[in-house]
Amino acid sequence: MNDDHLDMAQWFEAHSRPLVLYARQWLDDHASADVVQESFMRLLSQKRRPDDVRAWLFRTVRNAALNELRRRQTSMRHAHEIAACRPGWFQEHPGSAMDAQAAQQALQQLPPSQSELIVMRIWGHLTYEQMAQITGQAVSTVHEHYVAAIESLQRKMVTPWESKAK
Amino acid sequence: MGIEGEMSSGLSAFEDGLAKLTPADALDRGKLMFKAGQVAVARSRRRWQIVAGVAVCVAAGAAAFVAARPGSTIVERDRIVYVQQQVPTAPANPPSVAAGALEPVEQTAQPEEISELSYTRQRQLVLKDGLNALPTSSPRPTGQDNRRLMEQLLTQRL
Repeated sequence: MNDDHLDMAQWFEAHSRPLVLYARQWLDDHASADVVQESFMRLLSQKRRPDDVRAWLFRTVRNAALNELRRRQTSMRHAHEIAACRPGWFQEHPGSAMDAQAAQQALQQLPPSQSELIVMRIWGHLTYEQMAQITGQAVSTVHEHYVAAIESLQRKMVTPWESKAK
Repeated sequence: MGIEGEMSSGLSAFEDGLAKLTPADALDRGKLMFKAGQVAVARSRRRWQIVAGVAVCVAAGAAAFVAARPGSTIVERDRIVYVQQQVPTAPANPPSVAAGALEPVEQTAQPEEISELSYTRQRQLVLKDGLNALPTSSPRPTGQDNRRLMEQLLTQRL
């Protein structure tokens, strides 16, 4: 097994789940998995390894997902409806303070421009600088949008989350 | 730092709660690693194909160069080389008793009539006036002369 394979295994363990969740902001389950897989393949075929692999993966998944979304634009609404009906964005943890199902539904209700920031920040562990590079916005703008997004998500989840917490 | 820490405590707690959720596993790890192996093999194969292609191009170029190269031709050029001829110096002492023994030397010196002329000069003379232009050379010593010289030497030594 060469270094590329070892690195690939590590990258897969570290980033595959957040990346699929990230792609799900635009695509259904199957397309999200395909897009993430293709992004890993593209990473492996790069002549020079990116300086920031995590940010590179998120940017590549974002571009691929948006391209795929444009391609499927006619059936976008239908795909969103299908995705909304499917549970499974998060693993269920018994005794968790946060309801995974409620979090998924709340995220799906947010516009992708907001939900992608939350996914990048919370599950992708990206900095605001990395998020700004990926979205092509100023860092301060990204921060403002992120705070607005997290507040919006909290408002949408306040009832189930608080009820579970109690 | 600045911007990283700007978040109310309520939102931070909400963030922490969200972070405890684990995204579901949606990718087949084995399938991905298999595809990664395929990509790696294809990449190494492509590298060898490029190396082989370059080698073939170099070999073809060398062959074309060798085939197109004109054959070797022999070019003859006349070059005149002037050589300073060494003139034999006369001995300081007059010939002694054995002077008679040096008689053949005098005989061999006679052809110097020809050799005094340089090769170039002789060539010019021949080209201009033919072989008759060459100076005459004295006849070579005969066998009787040599025998007589040998007898002289033997009598002197005895």
